[in-house]
Amino acid sequence: MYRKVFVWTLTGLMALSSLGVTAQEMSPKSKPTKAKPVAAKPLTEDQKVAHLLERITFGARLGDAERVKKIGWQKFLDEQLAPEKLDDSVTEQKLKTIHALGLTTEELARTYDVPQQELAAKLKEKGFDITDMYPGGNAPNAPKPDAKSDANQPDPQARRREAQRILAEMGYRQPRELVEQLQQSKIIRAVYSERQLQEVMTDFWFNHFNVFINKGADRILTPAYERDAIRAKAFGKFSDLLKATAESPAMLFYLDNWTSASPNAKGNDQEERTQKMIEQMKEIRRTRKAEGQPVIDEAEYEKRRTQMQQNLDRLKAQRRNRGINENYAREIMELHTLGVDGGYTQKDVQEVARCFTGWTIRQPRAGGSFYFNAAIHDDGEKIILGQKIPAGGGMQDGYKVIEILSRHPATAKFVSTKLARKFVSDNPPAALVDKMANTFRKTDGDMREVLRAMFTAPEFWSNETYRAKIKTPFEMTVSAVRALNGDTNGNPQFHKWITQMGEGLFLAQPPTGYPDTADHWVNTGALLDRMNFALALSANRINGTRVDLAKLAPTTPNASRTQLVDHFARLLLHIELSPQTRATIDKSLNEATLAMNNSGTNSDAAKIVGLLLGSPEFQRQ
Amino acid sequence: MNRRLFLKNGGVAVASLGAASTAPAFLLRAAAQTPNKGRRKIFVAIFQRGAMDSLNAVVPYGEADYYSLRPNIAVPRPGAGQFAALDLDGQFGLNPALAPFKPLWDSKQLAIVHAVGSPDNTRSHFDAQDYMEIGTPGVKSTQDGWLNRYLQSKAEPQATPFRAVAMTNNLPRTMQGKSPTLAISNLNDFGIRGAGGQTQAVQGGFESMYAQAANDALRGTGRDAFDAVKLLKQANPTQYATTAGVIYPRTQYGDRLKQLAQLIKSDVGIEVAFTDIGGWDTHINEGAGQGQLANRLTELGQGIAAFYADLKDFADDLVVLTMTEFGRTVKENGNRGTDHGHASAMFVLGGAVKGGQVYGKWPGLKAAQLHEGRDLAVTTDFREVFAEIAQGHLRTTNLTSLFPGYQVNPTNFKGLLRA
Repeated sequence: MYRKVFVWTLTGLMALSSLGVTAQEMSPKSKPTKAKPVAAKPLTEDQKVAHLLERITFGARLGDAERVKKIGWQKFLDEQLAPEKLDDSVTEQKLKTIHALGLTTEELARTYDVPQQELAAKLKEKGFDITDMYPGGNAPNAPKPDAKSDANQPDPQARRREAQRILAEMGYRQPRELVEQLQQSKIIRAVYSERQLQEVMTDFWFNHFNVFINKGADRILTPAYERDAIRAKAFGKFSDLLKATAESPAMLFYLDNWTSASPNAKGNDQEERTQKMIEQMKEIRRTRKAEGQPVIDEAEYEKRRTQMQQNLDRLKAQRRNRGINENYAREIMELHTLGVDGGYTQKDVQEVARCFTGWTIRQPRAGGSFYFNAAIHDDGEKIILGQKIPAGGGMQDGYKVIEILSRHPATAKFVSTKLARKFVSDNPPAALVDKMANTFRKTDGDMREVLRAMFTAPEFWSNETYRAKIKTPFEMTVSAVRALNGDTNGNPQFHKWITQMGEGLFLAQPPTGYPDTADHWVNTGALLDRMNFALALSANRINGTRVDLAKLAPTTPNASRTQLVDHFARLLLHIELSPQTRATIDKSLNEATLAMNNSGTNSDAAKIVGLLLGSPEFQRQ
Repeated sequence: MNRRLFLKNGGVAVASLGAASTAPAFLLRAAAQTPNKGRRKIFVAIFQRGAMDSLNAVVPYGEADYYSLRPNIAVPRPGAGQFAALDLDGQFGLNPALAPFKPLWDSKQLAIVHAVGSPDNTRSHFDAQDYMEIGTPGVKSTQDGWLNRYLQSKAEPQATPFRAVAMTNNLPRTMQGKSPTLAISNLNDFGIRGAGGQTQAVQGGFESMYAQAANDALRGTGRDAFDAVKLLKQANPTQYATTAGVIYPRTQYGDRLKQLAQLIKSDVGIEVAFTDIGGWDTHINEGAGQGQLANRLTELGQGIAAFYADLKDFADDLVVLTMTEFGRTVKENGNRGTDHGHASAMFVLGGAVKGGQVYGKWPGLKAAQLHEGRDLAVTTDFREVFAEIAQGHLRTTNLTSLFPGYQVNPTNFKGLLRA
């Protein structure tokens, strides 16, 4: 009987989907812009609240709309623009359980990214060998273990497990766990944080200044990068963000600037020290000989001198191989500031690269910090975008570049365009971008002011903008949990869905980050994944994530199915059914009630919610 | 309700609901074939992630330095016992774990390109894989992969949603881009799932909602998605049993090759396919003719040989190419392994391949011949191999768009393919 009822309900839902058309018909977006210049119908107060919530949060939670309506959207926006004043203790409490977040970068390195040699030494102390971790390597021409120990040889797999257990006991953890914990923390913040706009902006800026967490040392460098360079600066001056990312070991490593050395530089400190030590040894030997003192052991002397000379040769060769690296210089202009059409040339890329020579990292894999190595810096004169940077500037060359780029009008325009694309529409109106770029220039890149200019502009509140953006996979999954007031621990079972739809967190490989337009996210495989995620979530099939549909059911005891569909549509899609749609549904459904008020596990109810969350309408924001 | 099955873009109604149960395979096949150019060519790329040690896979046993630099992990010369190299041409030998390749070599269907790699010096797995997949070494911000650019370069009005399929969890970089591509981790999971006995009803509900959505990307893609689901259901690839006597490795990689063969047999319109296999980063305890690397080679070789035998009817239209981000140091390290190096090797297999030859200029292993004094030097840019297959096999006419910023010179092609 339920099955029959369910099919009937489906018919109703199909009719309901026609309201997507209704909403869109009002929007000139589906028609070319030459549409009537007559001002489109302004948004109602309810629509305004829903719109703002959709765009500046990861989706409305139950009750959010009512609350915002009560205090007024202006006040809500003010609150969100001053996140430091919002109490976020619930989120902070949840984050306390995440081990990696409480560690410094050095501690992360010592726990999650320990060099093989160290693991080898630790294992040796316990009577194991590092090769025990990699069984199956008994090369035929490797020395055979003698016969008697052969008989007592334990099973290699058991030995491997034992070695792993010993390392775990000593506090060493898998690098993979670190990545999972960071992904988890990002999901938890997006779902629970009261500082929603801060998290949205953190996601935006991280993507703008993208690094890929699985590139070597970036695994241990990314947590601090997200925390200190991105989230902490999300509402500050653009130039501070640019400076923080330029100085961050994560970016220096990701775009290789840490290896960039002037081919003409005199050499690094280590090279100089080694050279000095060789000369000192020679000098001591010479004076001792001259003074007739007993000479140090000649063989020993020769051995050490040769060693040092070899070291020196290796250092010199390394330096020659390093040379200048233009990756960061190119991307800071193309992707971080001016944009690809921002008016710079290949010559500018080379000059900027020269300015940033010597901006490097001390021992990246050990979690080392940013430092300036003057010995590999190119200290000559440079010309950037027509501006002269005199010779001898040292580390200041890089800061000068940051200043020139963050004040350049092309940067104001490029950054404003990206923000408008994210918050307003895939093709943002030029007038809006100009307004924002003006604010950017007038306020020296004060991001709070640029955001305010955007959120208070008529273009943001226009009918064309309303529900015109498609959620990214991260936004879609998180907004579904929020809409149902669900709970998640953000574990890999949840994250798996985001990855499958193509937006694995911290996993964008190219420096461009993820695109922010619908065409990238809406493709055959990913769309099916969205529907499957919706079904899995509403049926509580995602381990670590729970929704309680019984709590969301209508309070009226004998709600009709019409009322039920109405209710969930309003709850999840923020849509009031039009009279025509209501009539269609009424016609399709009989008046029997769905017996779900008494049980939260009613699978038909789960499927109704699944269908709504997987519907085209829920993909919009 | 839109119950007709459409081939993407074509608008060719192949089957109506009434006939759906009796799949008109001949119709599907006819629609899926490119009209004027005869049978569709198929290209399968297999990425070995982690950097395969090409020197222990295709052993330069003629080089004395190979043995002096690898005292513990060199593969013995042919004839020197059970785990010795299998002679190819008097200079190179296959790792014995690649024995399944030997008959393919002997029948001249398998070729090898040695000392192939990237002009970029990076020894980062991530950067090097990325460069190989996007096809622009040294330029990181390229948005799309070279395989996707190939698809863009040759518009196929009759293309099905399965024209380009990656048998992977996530769409690989090389397939990303403007042209539609699909990642399928398991054929049995493709479509709406988890709604139990009501899956059909739920799928129908979704389909109607997307069909009635506003006329934008969601509606169009929704239609494509459900067309793809129905096309696959109708073609029912899992009905195709593996050819008698063929055994795939019982691993994820083996399963994916097996499913890919089923997809190809079911004629859903595959032109480009991709999958990957990991575990090549042998820093510690690499082994020689047996051991860690040999285990990986066994899986690789058995999988490809099984796939090829399974698809023997398609051999003339099929090229399989392996690739890996870089090679490994010539000298073994202190842990009986090898570290990140430079050039590696590729296997090229197919009915139209001029096999039984090791292609590429051999740079030698003497100290002065090594790249940066430690690695096998690159003498063939990987793009030359990609370009030759794109032109000679897939018949693209627009090589410049495939590899922006790189002047492909067809006179440099190795001649891997029969005309």
